[in-house]
Amino acid sequence: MDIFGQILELDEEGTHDFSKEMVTAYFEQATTTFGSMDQALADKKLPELSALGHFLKGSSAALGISKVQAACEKMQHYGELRDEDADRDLAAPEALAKIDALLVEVKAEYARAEKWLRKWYAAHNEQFAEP
Amino acid sequence: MSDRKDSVGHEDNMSSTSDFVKKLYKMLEDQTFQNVVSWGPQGDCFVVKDMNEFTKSILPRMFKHSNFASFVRQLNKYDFHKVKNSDDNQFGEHSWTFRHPDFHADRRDTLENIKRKVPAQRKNTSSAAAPIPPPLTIDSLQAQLSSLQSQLTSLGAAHDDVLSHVRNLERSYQEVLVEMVGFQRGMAQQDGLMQNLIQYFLRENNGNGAGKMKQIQSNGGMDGGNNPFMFLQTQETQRMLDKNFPETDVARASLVQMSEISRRAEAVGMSFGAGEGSGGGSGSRLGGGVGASGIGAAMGRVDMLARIEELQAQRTRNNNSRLGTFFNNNSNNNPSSSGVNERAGEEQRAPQQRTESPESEDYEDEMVVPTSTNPPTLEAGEMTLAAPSPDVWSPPSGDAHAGLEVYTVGHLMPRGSAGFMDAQGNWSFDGNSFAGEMVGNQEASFASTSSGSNNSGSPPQTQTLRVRRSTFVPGWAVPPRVLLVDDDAVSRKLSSKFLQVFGCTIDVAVDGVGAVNKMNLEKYDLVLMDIVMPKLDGVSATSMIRKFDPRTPIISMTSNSRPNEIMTYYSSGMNDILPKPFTKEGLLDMLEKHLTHLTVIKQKMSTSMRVPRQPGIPPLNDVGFDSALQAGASSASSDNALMGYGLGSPDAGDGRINVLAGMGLSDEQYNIMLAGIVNGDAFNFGEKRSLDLDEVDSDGREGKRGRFEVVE
Repeated sequence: MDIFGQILELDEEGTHDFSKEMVTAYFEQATTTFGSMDQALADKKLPELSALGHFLKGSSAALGISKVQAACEKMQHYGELRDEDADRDLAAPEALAKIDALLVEVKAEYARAEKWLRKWYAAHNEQFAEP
Repeated sequence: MSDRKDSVGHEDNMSSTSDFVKKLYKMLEDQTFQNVVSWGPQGDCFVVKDMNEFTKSILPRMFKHSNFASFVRQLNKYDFHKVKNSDDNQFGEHSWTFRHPDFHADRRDTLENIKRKVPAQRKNTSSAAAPIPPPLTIDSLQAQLSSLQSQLTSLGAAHDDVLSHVRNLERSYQEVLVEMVGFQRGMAQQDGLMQNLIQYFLRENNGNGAGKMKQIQSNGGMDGGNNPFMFLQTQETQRMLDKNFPETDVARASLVQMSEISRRAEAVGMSFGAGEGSGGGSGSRLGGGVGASGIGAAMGRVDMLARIEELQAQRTRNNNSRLGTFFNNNSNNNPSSSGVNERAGEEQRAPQQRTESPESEDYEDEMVVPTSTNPPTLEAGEMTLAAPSPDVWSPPSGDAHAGLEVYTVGHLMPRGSAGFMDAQGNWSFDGNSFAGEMVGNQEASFASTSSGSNNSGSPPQTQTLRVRRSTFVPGWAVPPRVLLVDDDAVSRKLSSKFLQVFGCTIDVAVDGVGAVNKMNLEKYDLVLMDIVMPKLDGVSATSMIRKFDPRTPIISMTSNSRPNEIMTYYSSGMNDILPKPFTKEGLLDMLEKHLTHLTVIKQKMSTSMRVPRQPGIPPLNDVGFDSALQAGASSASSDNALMGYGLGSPDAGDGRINVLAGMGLSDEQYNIMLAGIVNGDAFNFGEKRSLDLDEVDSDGREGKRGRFEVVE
């Protein structure tokens, strides 16, 4: 959470307004993106899944939520019919299957991160307005 | 009847004779007309004896008319001529005699020679009218045709001329457009230059120029290491400055000001001590190392004078503040702070950048106010030490800490701002002989300043300093206008925050289309462009923007930074790549790299405007001043030294200069201090620094990241 620490440094002294704002935006964006991912998966739109993976990867990286970031990068590549880990190309059904499994994983990682963040802000007397 | 037959027979003979002549002859043969008309006596002419009778009776019978004039006209046509009857007017005064050479009473055969005269005109007319009219029409048609054709060709040629002319005009128009764009750019540059000049004047007026210059110099080495890019721009700036800022003017102004100031100083009773003189000398030595020229000297002089003036004005106050807000601390209530800073910077510089460039954060964070217990001489040393790093300078700093009171000001401030500004400033002047000169002279003035403070010996007192929170902001002349293009709200917030901290004004577009539109409507100093975006990706947007805006730096923020992708970015017209996720430092590096021009200006402004005026600088006497100037001038040609200085070259170690001489330190003391500095762990001095520029840089950044601590 080094990156998150740097974000906290950007907060004004004694407040966490800025970081909270960022985290809030991240929560909202992630929720929306997961919805879009579900839909794209149902529609078997691999390019869209790739784009969505890239998108969530970026915002996760900005906050330093690296596990979500890594999973989203996988999705980005699967959407391009590519398995970077195995260094091979994928067929569309295979890629969809992988994304199906991966999406569950991403959501789980995200849930952990969200929980952690909420806890952190709670510990610092900051409450999130529930989305 | 027989006559008639004869006449008929005659007529047959006279077949070729014209009717008129035949009638005429017949009339003359008719004896019944003898009393009215008859042959002449010799038969070679005929006479109309009674014109009236002839007209009444004979003309109607013979010629079917009764107009004598017509009869005469007809005779004339057949070339009969009236004979004047002057000689023998046997037929009366009113008789008419006509003659024709071939008309004889007994020469019937010649009658056929009498022909109707062909009137030249009429003949011509008829001949012309008959054959010519048809030819005329054809000819005229042909002529008209040919003339039309020639007209057509000439028109065509004229048209071509006009077309080519229009084309030329279009070309010129485009050229004019291009030139206008060029002019606009030139105007923008001029604006920047004007800002520079105004700031320069303000600085001159405020007498803070010296401090600024010094700051620049002190941090210049580090910057030189960091940013090769700034070099060119700064040189350009410098050139512009040179051009628009005639040396003579500066020199003149400075001289006038100086004499004025010294006069005032003397009036106030300021003492021009020997120590001051020595200070000047040390300064000059420094200047020599750096390379000083007439301009620089003049400027240094001005600054010195200004300082002297300030000293006078604030003399009463200067006792209190020993520590100044460096750079952007804004604590104007510390009159002496700038002086301290300068001193510190000077000392660091004295080793000619052997010391690492002082980390700006250190300056900010470690603001130390010397307590009254500290001897004034040490003060300067302490200050210097404190600025770079308290740890290294432990002996003096420890003392200083005891008497220091530091607190943080609530808002974000550039922790490294001083460093940045200095760096920028340095860059602008680095490699430039002009800059070098200025620096050198500035040094001189500083040396004198420090010495002056010493002499004044105002007891240092504990003072409250304001220290800003540890963030670093480059000093901008104007807030850079940055267009942030990103579809990710989280990244956008983060980038915006960074930019905000860096003092930029931010505009946001959420996709490529928005970016292109905004670029069309507004002028930005920099564009941060995400690559993967809905609607229009960053590469395409950049390509479109480049069609109408070839200059604004566009930096791609991307997590896809494989070589082929990077090639795509550059080929679309992007200027640089900022891999995502980027750090605050990474972004700042980009801003510094591509917005150098704005930072340089800011450097001038901030130093001139924000650095509080410094008291405590005793005026130099003329001797000391002149010697300083001369020393500076003598070293004017030392380009190598200048370059070395700017780049933090190690050669500085060879020529150590006791810049603290003005403060009463002996050379021995100074060398001891230097040795202590060089041996310090935290700093790379001299040769080491030159080898480890990058490292130094990163170190500096690390230091900036540290949180500010309150020291009491």
